[in-house]
Amino acid sequence: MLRYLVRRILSMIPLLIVVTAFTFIVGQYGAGDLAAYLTGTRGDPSKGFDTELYQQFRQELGMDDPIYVRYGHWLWNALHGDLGKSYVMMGDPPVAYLIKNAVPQSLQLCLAALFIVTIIGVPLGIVAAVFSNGVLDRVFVSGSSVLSSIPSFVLAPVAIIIVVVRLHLLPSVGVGWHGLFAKETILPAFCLAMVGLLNVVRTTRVAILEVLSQEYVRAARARGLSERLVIIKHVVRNAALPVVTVIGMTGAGLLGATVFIEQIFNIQGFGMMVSKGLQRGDVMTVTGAVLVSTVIVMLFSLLVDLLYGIIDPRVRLTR
Amino acid sequence: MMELLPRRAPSGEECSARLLPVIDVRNLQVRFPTRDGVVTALDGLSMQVMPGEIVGLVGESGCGKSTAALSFMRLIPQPGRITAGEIVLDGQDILKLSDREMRALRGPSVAMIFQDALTALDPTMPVGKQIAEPLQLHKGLAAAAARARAIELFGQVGIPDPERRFGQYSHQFSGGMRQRVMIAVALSCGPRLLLADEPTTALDVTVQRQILRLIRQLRDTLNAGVVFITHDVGVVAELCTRVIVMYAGRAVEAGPTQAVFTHPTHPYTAGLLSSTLELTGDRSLPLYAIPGLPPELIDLPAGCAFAPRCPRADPECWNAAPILEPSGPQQSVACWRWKGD
Amino acid sequence: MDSPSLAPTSIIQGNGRGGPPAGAGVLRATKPRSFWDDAWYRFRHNWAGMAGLAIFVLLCLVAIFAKQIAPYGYLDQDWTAILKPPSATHIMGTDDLGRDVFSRVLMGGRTALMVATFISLIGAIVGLLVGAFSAFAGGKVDAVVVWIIDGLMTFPTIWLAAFVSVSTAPALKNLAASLYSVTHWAFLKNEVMISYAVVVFAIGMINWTWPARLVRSQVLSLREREFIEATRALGASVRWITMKHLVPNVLGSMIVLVTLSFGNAMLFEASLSYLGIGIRPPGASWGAMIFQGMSKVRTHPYLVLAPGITLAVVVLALQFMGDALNDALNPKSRSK
Repeated sequence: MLRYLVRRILSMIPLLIVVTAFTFIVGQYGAGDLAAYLTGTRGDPSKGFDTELYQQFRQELGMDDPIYVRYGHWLWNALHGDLGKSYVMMGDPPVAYLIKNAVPQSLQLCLAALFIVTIIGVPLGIVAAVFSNGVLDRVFVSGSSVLSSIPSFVLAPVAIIIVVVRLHLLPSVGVGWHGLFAKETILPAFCLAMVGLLNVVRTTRVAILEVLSQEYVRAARARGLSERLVIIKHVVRNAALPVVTVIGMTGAGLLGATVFIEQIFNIQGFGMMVSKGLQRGDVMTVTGAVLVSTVIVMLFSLLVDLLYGIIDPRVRLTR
Repeated sequence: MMELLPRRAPSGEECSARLLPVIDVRNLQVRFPTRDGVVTALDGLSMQVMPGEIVGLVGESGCGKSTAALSFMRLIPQPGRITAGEIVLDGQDILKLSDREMRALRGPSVAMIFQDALTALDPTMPVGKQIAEPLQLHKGLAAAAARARAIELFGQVGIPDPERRFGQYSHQFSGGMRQRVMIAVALSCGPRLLLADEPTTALDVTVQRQILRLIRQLRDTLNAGVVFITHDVGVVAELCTRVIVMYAGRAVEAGPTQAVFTHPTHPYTAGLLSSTLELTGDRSLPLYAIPGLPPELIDLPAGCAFAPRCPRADPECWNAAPILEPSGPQQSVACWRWKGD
Repeated sequence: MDSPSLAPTSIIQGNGRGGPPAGAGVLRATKPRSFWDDAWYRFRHNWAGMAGLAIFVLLCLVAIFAKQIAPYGYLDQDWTAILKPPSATHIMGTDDLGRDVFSRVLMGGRTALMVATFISLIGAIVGLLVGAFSAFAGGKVDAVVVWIIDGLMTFPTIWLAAFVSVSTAPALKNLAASLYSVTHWAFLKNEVMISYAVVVFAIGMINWTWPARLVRSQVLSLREREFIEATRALGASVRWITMKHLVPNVLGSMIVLVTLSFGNAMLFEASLSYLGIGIRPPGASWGAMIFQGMSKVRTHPYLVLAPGITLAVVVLALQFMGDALNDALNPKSRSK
C-alpha cells in the first residue's frame, strides 16, 4: 500500500510540470509585454516611453532569457515557496502571500459544500435506486437535475433573494468570511454544493442498481435479511467505490465554481483571487493559482485512492 | 446405463413415508410480464421432498429449474410473479405469509447454495461474518457466540485452519473452498430444505466429487430435504433418490432415479440420456444430440412444448398439452405417446 | 436482410431485477425492429426527453428569427423607460440603459446557440480525430494522449477556459488586425466578433476531451471484437457491417455526448461572459446580462431572473434530452 502511494505521488509530478509549464508559457506570451506595461504605469509620464527603465524592468523580470529558463527559474522558486509578485496590484504583493491568505477560506467552503452534497446526494441516490423507475426516483433525479443545471451565478442571487431578503431566515450576507461554522457560511456552501448534486445522486443511483443486481444480494436475501439490512450491510459498501470517486472529482468541480460563489457572497478566497486576476490580466497570480489548485486537486484524488483501500479489501490486499 | 449408478444413495424413503414432506408444491405457475408478452417460466409444477431425500431437477438451461428454486424462497426477481398454485414449506403455505414471516423462514427452514460462490459471496465482507450473519439474525446469538459457531461450521464443511479463514475475504479462497463457504452459510441455521442450484457446475471435476460427497454427508446429519438442480445427468444418477425432468417450464417426467434412467418413458428424457457421453460407450456411434432448440417461453403453443423436436410426435401432440400420468409404480410422465405406437 | 440468421432482433435478457433470471430463456421480440426504430420508440415514450427536445427546437427557432420576434432592437435605448419592471410594453422589463430585456434575452439566445454550435462541432471533430488517431497509433502515442486527456479532466475546467480566453485574446486580436490589413474584411475589426472567436477557441480547447475518450475506447473495443471478423467471414458486406455494428455503436454514444456537451458549452459561454472575459458588450449574452443585473438584484431581480431562468431552462432541456437519448440509444445502460 505504501509503495503504491509513493508510486502514485511520483506519477503526479510530470502532470504537474506539464500543467504549470503550459500555463506559464501561455501566460507569459499571451499577456503581452509586462515590462512595457510596468514602464507605462510606473515611469514618469512626462518623459514619454522611458527606454532605460524598460530595459531595467526587462532585466529584473528576466525577460531576456529563453522561455524554458524562465520557467525553470519560476518552478525552482515555486518549490521554495516563492511564486513571484503580482505587479498589477498595489505594492507588488508576493503571490504566495496572496494565496496563503485566500486558500484556507476556499478549502473550508469546499469541504462544507462537499459535506452537504454527500449527506444530501448519497441518500437521495440510494432511495432513487431502491425505488428505481418509481415516483420517488423520478422526482429525486429530475429534482437534482434542476438544481445542478441552474448555474451558480443564477442560483446564488435567487437564494439570497428568497432566503435572506424575503424570508429573513439567515442574516444578511455580503460581508465576507465568518468561519466554517458561522451562519453566513450556510448559504454559500449550499449553493456551491448544488453544482455537484446531480453527479453524486446519479452515480450513487447507478452504483446501487448495479450492486442490487448482483448474486450476493440475492444470497443475502436468501439468508433472511430484510431489505433494509441488505442495503446497509451489503449494498452500500459495495457501491461505495464509484461514489467516493465521484465525490472526489466533485471536489475539483466545486473548487472551480468558487469563482462565482465567492464573488457573489463577497468572500476573499481563492476563487475571488482568480476571477480578479483574470479580469486584471494578472498573469503571475493566475499562474501561481493554477499550480496550487492542481496540487489541491491531486491531493483530493490521492485521498480518494486511500479511501478505496479502506473500503474494498480486494484493493487493500492486492496493492 | 447401469454404470451411471454406482450405488444408490441410502435414502430414507421407507421410513420417511410416514413423515410430512419438507416442501409440497402444487400446480405452481410463475410468469414474467415483458414488453413483448407474458413469459410463463413455470407451468403447473408439482413436487414433494421428504426429509433426508435428494430430489434432482434436471433440464436444459432456461427450462425453469432456477426459477423453481427461487420461488420456493419467494425470491423471484421483478417483475416475476407466482400466478397460481401453492407452496407448503415445512407445514406453512408460504404464499400466504407476510414478508416478515417469510424472511424468518429463509435460513432456518429453507436455504440455498448458489451456483457461483464467487458472485454469491459479498466481496467486501469477511466470509466468516457472512456465516455469522444469519446466526445472529435467526438464532439471536451474540457476536462472539456466532463467531464460535461459524468457526465450528467451517470445520464441518472441511475448511482447514478455520480460525484464520474466518476473517478472510472471498477472493482469497480457491473455487472449491469458496463453495464450501457457501455451503456453510446455507447450513448455518440447520435448514429443513436445502436448495442447491448447480453447486458444482463452476468447479473442477475432482473438486465436484468432494462437494457432492459433502452435500450427501450433510443431508445425513441434518436429515434435511435437498433439491438438487443440475443439467448434469451423471451427477443426478449418482446423488439423487428421485428425479424430475423439466422442459419449457413443465415437469415432463418424474420418478425414482433408477427407474427413470433405466426406463425413460418421455422422449425428451431418453434424448437427454443419450446425449450424455459415456466412458464405456461405443465410440463408433455418432454423438447424439436432440435436434432443434428449446422453445421461446412467450405465447407457447397449445400442444406439447416438445413436439417440434420430438421424434415420436404426431398431429395429436400439437393440439393439447399432456399432463403428468402414472407410467410405472412410482414413475409418471407427461406425454401422449409414451406407450409407443 | 442480407442474412437471416443475423437479423437484428431485440433481445431482452434478465439482468437480475429487470426481467426473468438468467437461465429463464432468451426471449425474442415477436416482430423484429430495427435499432433506430427501437431507439425512437424509447425516446418517444420519455416525456422529459420530448419536453427537452421541444424546448431546444423552440430555442433554435427563436434564435434564427430573433430579429423578427423581438419587439425592440436589442441595443435600442429608451431613456424614458429606465429600470422599468415587467409590464405589457416590456414583458421582461428594461435595464439601466432603458433597453428591452426580452429583446436582449432573444439575442442572447442567438449568441448562446451560435457559440455552442461551433464549440460542439469543434469538440466532436477534434475529439473524433484525436480519439481515432490515438486508438490506431497505440503504444506510447496512445499513452501520452490518454495522459493528457486525464490531466485536462482533473483540472477545474472553467478556470482553464477562462485562462485560455484571457491569455489568447490579445494574440487573436493581433491576428485579426493583421488579417484585416490584407483582406479589409469588416468583421475582422469587429470586437464582438473577435470575442466570439476567443470564447469558441477557449472552450473548444478543453471540450474535446470527452468525445476523444469515447471514440478512442469505442474504436479500441470494436477492433478487439471478433464479431466483426466473424460477420465478414459470413459474407456480409463492409457497408452492412458499418451500418449494423459500427454506426450504432459509435454514433449512438456520440449523439448523446454532443447533446450533453452542447448544454455544457452554453454554460461555459455564459460563465465566461459573466466573469467579463467572454462576449464583449454590446454583444448580447445571458451571462453578461446576469452580471450587469447583479448589482441591482435586490431592487430589480428580474434583470437577473429573466436571462438566468432562460439559461437554466435551456441547459436543463438539453440535459433531459441527452439523458433520454442515452436511454434510447444505449439500452444496456437503461434504467441506470
